[in-house]
Order: sequence, then structure tokens, then C-alpha cells
Amino acid sequence: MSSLAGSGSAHLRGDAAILSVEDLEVEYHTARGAFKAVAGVSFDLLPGETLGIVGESGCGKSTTGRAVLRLDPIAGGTVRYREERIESASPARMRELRRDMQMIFQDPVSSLNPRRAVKDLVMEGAEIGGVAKKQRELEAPEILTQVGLPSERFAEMLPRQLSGGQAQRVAIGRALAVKPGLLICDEPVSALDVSVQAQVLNLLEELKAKYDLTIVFIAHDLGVVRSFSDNVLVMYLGKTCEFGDSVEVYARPAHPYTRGLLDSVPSPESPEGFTGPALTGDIPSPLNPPSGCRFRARCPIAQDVCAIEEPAMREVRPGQYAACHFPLD
Amino acid sequence: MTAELLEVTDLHAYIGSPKGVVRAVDGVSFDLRRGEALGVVGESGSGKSVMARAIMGLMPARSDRTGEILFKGRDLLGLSRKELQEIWGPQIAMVFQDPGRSLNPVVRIERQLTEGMRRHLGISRSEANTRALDLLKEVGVPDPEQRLRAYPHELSGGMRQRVMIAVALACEPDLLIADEPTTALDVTIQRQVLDLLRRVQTERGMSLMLISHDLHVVAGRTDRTAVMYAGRLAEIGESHEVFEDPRHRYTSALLGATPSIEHARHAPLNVISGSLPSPTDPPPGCRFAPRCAAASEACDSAQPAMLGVGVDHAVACLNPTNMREGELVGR
Repeated sequence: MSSLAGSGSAHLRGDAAILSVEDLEVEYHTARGAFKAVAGVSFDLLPGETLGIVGESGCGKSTTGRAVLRLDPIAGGTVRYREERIESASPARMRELRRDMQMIFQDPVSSLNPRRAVKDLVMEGAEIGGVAKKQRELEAPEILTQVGLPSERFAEMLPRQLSGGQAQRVAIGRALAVKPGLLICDEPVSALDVSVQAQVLNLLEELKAKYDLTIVFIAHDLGVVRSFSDNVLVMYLGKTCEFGDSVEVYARPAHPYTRGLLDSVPSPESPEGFTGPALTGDIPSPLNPPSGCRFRARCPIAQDVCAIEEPAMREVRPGQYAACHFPLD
Repeated sequence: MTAELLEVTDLHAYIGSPKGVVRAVDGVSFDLRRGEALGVVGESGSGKSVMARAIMGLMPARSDRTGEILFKGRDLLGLSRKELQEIWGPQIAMVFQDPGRSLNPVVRIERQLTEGMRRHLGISRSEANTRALDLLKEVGVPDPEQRLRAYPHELSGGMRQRVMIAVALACEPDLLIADEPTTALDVTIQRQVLDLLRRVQTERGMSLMLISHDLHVVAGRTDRTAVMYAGRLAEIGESHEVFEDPRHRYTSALLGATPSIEHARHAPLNVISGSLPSPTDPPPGCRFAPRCAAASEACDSAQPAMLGVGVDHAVACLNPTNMREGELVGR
């Protein structure tokens, strides 16, 4: 596998993966020119795995999730789902495939048609898939029960009558009603209060086991991602920094950016409120990213080579990969 | 001079709505000492933001405040708009969640910084400009000379929040109220802004009220923490104590529901069953009782008073967790 372009793909696990993304590139065109929001990102998931994708604004994590479903056009690289090549699938085939690859968004209320009742909303996907009305009416109460919304109370409600957590349950129900194999969750709990967030996360874990789901879980909250994911992918400015088992990566981050992110999570047990020093500087504009390693401008251990040569993903410990010239011990 | 800068007693803030009167803040008492950082934590609907606005006198139309808000011994509730304008800036300043919306988009940073100083401190333009530059340096804005000439949209979210803090500090307030100041920011930038707030607070000997939905954000950064639930105070105490030894079941439930870096993989998170009580028609007793595992009949009939449970730690519960012998002291 080539590791010259992008951040490299040494961490991919081959044919066993149900979803395999290699050197993915997504371009956005703005008034100030075109830029790559995702600039060579690779990852894969084995069936039944949960991959957490973390990073700050502009790192390309949401764009990556959307590109897998081709909601944003793929400018380069390959995306394989089961036996299908997503980047070259026809629009008609893509519509079929999206039934098996469902997505849940951050803002649950705005992702629901405000004029439709909950019982119709959860069956929207099935309706598009050609499931007959009678069958849908039969299935809707079942789905609603699955997501913890008793049909008697919720079936006729409109989105504006729901709380944020309830609306997100409807969105989850709608995704599951078409029995997908892959679920892409883009910040599914970020808009919810802590207590509601815990309920939705528990529900997702339950349904994942029940329906044998493979999940891509995109979030900026590192605490949420660690316990929910098997593997974690850390992104920065359109590139991958680190990939590995989430517990291992959190315990021993190899990339200085991962370390900096973890040290920025408030830790009331630590005397200063944090476990380590702050990262300096701001996130650079993706329109004009730094040369070499994109993180170097904020990196506490950057050397001259970091400005010249872009680091590729390489194995730093068994199963743990980092794109850094000077990985941490 | 008393140690208390702010003494809030039995504060109620009610807001009219089509569905009835929302009892956003419903009987809250606490004090804030000089030079102290107080964290205020709660979920949506807890009343934490309305409480901050009630203290500032920034209430919406069709609202009503009762109680007492003593600031340096003077009741803010009785002040006219004109008198309040003399308080805003040199006495109490506020930083909001969205720095993009609190700065004037068509005015350069320099004027936004100097406006208040010239009005309240009566200093000359050139003196104000010098101080504006010093302020930007103090809050860690790189290239401060250039930034003075910039408009808000030319700055990143983190930089705008630093500028907002500089604006708030410009007239040297004794109290800074920061309402979710880092919620809109990325985690590494949030960290920088929290560090900055703590630094200016200690260096200036200023009092700080840091409001957040995230107990973790507040606990490690403040001297004391108040936990709010449904318009009332659930618990208040030294931050490390509230965090390590919470005595109200809502506080412990909130902590249990937050996925921490230590949480076991794929293990279910603790949930708080049920939902918030109606803000227009809250239950007569403890507001958390319908969701509380240890609630008894007594909890449903009367609102629990604040009960002292150790040094500088009080909890609004008839049956606090983890009680020690001889601890039951009414307050």
C-alpha cells in the first residue's frame, strides 16, 4: 500500500473489513478557493465494530462520515462497503445502498419533517424502500417500542412536541426500520443534556448488539467516544493522526495531538483541573494548511523535518498507528 | 468590608410565557466572596442562566424578580436602569456563550474595548488605546496591534472569546459572570480560555461566577460549586468536595451519567430516569423527588431546606447520601 500520499494506510486490515476507506479526499469549493476538507484519510471497520472518529472543528470528521454515504462528493481515494465500490456506484445503486448504510445527525429536531407524525417519521425509510402502508402501520409500534417511545403515547405526536432526546430516538428508529448493516452517527448526543445523552448512548449500545450493527461514531467529546468505541481514529485538519484500540490510545497516546486533546479534557481530580499542559495556538485555516505535518505549528516537540516531510501512518505499538515523525513513548 | 461581595437571598425570577409563568429561578440563596471563583452547574432548564441574568438585571419583558441581591451591601433589585449602567462594567461584567453575537460586527475591536473605559474610567482616547493593547496582551491575543484594527468576523471563535473577556475586564470589574463561556469552543481552545479565566481571576483578585452544564469543566477550576436543579439549588460546597463526595443524589446522578475517561468500555452509563418537572407547575416538595431513588413521602410534601453537611457544604435534601454521625445541622 502506498504511503506517499496522504496520511498513509498501514493500519488497514484488508478484506475482512465490512467498510474500508482508503486515501479518501473530499474537496470543498469556497469563494476563497478550493480546499481539501478531507485530505487522504484511511480507516476500516470489521463487522460489528464501533469506530470512534474524534477531532476538533475543521478536522473533517463529519465530512468523512458524509462522504462514506456520498452525501458529499468523493474527490479521490476509494470507499468499499461489503463488495461495493461507493466512489463509482451509480446514483440509482447509491440510493439502494443507503438503505443498508444509515446516518443519524446531531440536531434531531431539524432532521425530522415537522409536519409528519412520529409513527410516519420512523417508517420514512421503509416507505421509500417500497414497504406497503399496511405493513408499515404494523411495524411502526414495534420500532417505537424498540427505541423506548411507547406507541400509545408517541405515535401521533409531531416533532415539535418532542424533547431533544425523544426526537433523537425517533431518528434512531427511522434508521433501524430499514434494517441497516452500518450506522453512521454524526455527533448524535452533542445537543443533548448529560442525563439524556446517557440514555441515548445506552440505547445505541443495546440496539447495536440486537441488530449486529457496525457503527461509525463521530464526536468531539472524548469521554463519550472512549467507552462507546472499539477503535478510535483521531483527525486533525483533514488528516489522520492516530488509530488504534480506544482504551490503549487513551491510556498511551502516541501522537502529540492526541496527547494534547486528552490533556484538554477537564479532569477535576487533577490539581490544576487538567492532566497536562495546554496546546498553544489556534487551529489553522484548512484553506491554507501548514506544510509537512499539519499539526506542527501547535506541536510541542516539532522538529525541522516536520515542516518538510509529511509523516505517514505507521505501527508504533502492536495495533496502534500514528502519523508522526517522533511518536511518544 | 465584609468578605462577601455578593449575597443572594431567596431569589425568584419568573418569566411569563404562553403556557403560564415559568418559575425559572425559584428560591435560591448563596453568597460569593471577594476573590472567589464559584461554579454554577446544571442541565437545560435548571435556571442557571436566568439566575445570572437576574443578578445582572438583564431580564426579558414580562418577568418578575423577588428576593434580595446584595452587591457590596447594596440591593441590585431596587436599582434603576441608569444606576445599573454604572454597575455594568466597572462593578459587574458578563461574558456570554456565543462571542460572535456579543461583539458588534461592524465596529473594530479597538473601539469595543475602549468605549466602556472612556465612559466609566474617564480616561483620554490615547490612554484608553494603550490600555486596550495591554488588555489584548493580557488575554493572550497574538499580534495585538493588528487585532485592534480588526473586525470580529476576522477572528476565530477562540480569539473572539478572548476579546470578549478583554472587553469584560476593561473597566476592572469586581465580579465577572461567565455564562457557558467555552461551550461553543473546541476542546483545546476551551482549555486555553478556562486557563485564561482562572489566571486573570487570581491575578486581579476578582470574583468569578463560572456557569456551565459540565460539572467537569467547573469542578477543577473553581473554589466552590453550586449545583442547580429545576430552578433551585441542590447542593453547594467546596468544588473538590462536591465532586468527590456529592451529598445530593442529583449531583451523584449527574456525575454517573457523564462518560469519563475511566468508564468501562460498552458498559451502560447510569441514567437519571424520568424527566424535568414542569417549570410552570413544579411539584410542591423536593423537585428531584419524582426521579430520586431514595425519595420518601416527606420529600413530596415540603421543599427541603439547605442542610449543612460539613465545612462550607450544604445540601437541599432531607436524606443526604453518605451521612456521618453528628452531621445533621440545620442551616
